[in-house]
Amino acid sequence: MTESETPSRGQALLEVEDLSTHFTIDAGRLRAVDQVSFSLKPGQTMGIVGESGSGKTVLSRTIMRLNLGSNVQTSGSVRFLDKELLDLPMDEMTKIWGQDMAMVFQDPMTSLNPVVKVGRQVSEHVRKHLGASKTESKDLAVELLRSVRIPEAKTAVDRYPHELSGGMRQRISIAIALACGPKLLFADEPTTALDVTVQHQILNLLGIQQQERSMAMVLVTHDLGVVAGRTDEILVMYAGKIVEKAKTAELFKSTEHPYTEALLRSIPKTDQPSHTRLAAIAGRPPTLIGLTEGCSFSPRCPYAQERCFEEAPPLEETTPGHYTACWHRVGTPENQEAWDKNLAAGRLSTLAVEQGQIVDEVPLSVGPSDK
Amino acid sequence: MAGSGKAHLRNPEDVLIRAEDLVVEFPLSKGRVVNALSGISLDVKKGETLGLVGESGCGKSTTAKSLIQLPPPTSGTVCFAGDDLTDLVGEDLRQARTDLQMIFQDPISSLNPRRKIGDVVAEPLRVWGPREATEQTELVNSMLEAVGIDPQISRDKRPHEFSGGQCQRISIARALVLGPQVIICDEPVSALDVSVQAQILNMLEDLKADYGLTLVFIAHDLAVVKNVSDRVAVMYLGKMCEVSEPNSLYVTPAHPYTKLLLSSSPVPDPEADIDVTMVEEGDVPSPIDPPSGCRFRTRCEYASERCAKEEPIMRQVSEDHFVACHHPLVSVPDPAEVSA
Repeated sequence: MTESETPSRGQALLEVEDLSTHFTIDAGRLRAVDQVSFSLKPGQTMGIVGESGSGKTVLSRTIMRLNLGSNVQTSGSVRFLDKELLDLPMDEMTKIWGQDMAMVFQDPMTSLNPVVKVGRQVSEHVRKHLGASKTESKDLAVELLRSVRIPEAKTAVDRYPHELSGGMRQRISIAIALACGPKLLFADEPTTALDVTVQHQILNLLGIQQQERSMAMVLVTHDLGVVAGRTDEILVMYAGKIVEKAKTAELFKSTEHPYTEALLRSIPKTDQPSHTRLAAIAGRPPTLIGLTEGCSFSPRCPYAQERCFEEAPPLEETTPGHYTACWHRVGTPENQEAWDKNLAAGRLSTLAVEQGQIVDEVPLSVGPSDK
Repeated sequence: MAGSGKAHLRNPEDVLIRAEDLVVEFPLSKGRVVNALSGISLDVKKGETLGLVGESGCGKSTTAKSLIQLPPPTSGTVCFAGDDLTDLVGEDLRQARTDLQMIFQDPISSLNPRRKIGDVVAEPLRVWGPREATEQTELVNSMLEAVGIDPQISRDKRPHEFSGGQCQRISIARALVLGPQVIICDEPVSALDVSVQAQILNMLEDLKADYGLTLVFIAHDLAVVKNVSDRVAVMYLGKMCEVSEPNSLYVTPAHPYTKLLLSSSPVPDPEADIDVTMVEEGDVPSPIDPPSGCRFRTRCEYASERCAKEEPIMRQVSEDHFVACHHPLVSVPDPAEVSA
């Protein structure tokens, strides 16, 4: 499933192969990210989508090596600009952070230092990495604030974060991330804490800056609406694994994984009439502790059959560039058959979709209820 | 009063809640005030869901809170079932509030972490409900069942043992246990994942039908508001911009602000036409010193001199569609219909 052996290897900016991040906790081994592989070309935008706890944030932090802690085990490979990041000593990593790879965090309220003026926070990287002088860096800070459309940038550099609104603070975070012209930007839920109008502008700003700098971007979000018009390719994650990977248009047009389908169906849309019943997903995400047999979505899946509980489906290329890990892909005859069979048997997870019922305890086998 | 008009209000006899000219001001030092609400009027019919949308700081939550007098508005009236709540004090107000309950945004922090959920849901009954302990227990059990939580297993658990969606359902059970007429939902789904959000929205619809509830539903997500509402009110900086039944509002928005909100909402469709170049400079103006005339004019592409001088008054554009704008995006049928 990876193309790492093909000669196009030199083209990829970031190549992630079989990356796993496990945390050892009292309850056992928590598989936050499990065997994830993907690659990203310069200038491309990748969306990573999933519910809370699906491992999307841990994945981006693992790639940037921000999971510091003694209970973390990482395996696999992350190649970035022909360097193996997982083997790099930390002082080498600090040269990559900010300069080649940067991150915009979710919460603009807490990711900025409250007692340092924003101008200094913006120019900190530049002074460290490029050795700019104080006056140079101040001019650069003003320039950067202008580029993220902060009004009156000259006076804004002397403000503290609490003097700015949430949207303005997120613009500052973007300016910090862009300061040294990174080649790859991770945006981890950059707009979740913001209003829709501000969200729209922040996403536009990221898009514009990305084009101007031909920078690659990984956009991590739980909102399929955010990634729809703004990414080239999307990874859908569930329980630490990639369950579907495809070009954006393809993913929305011919959704193959039941989880992706379920996410899409549960979002209310403005073109539906009021009081449209939404399809719910039964149960809740698994705990990720210990080994699971079979597909991790199977207890919640409306199409699950016996095989799904016994054998985990591999991530397979179904059409060129479209990878899905499922035994009964949406749109196939097997899928329809599984649906009819489950509906007739009264499987709770199937009824949850059909009637929008709330189902907390999902069956751990194919039967209608098995508790 | 700098009101935005009341053309959108319906016959007082047909409605359950009617709030007129609500003004909420929070004092600052040196005589300055935060103009949180400046003349909001709204009404809700029995069995109807009113959706309130707008950006943060527009006064959605303040409106909801002033309906239940928490705190009472600086001026204005709130008529509920024949009483003016702003006139009530002490015991009368406490009694009236039992009919108006609230669900909050953050499901986890709105439940006391040290208490068992059986006690959390029983709390309103201990104050107002039947004295018999068995009767209370029965009511709590039936309420928990109604929100899909098994009372036998769950009564003695504490909030941390539940997921966010389950906690929100427990909050809903607590709000419903006294049999209120009105539930005010203040962003009840914004902290939840989409799959859980769908469950809560479906459940609110079911409960509304089963218990004959009237809902005031606050959210910043326009698609969520459309899904649950019978009527939608769009607010901006303490003023009402547009009030309409949802279909007309979403298909033909009349206020430029509504259009901006609609064009900003993310659509889960890669072919949707999104404007990827628009980046406004600046921010929402401060409610301490709001713009004169129309408060949206500083961000409005249609703003004219008139907008700075004269405040737009709510007028009718079609049967159940009202807008407060000098340059509405749809034609206004007959200016004679404008009522003061």
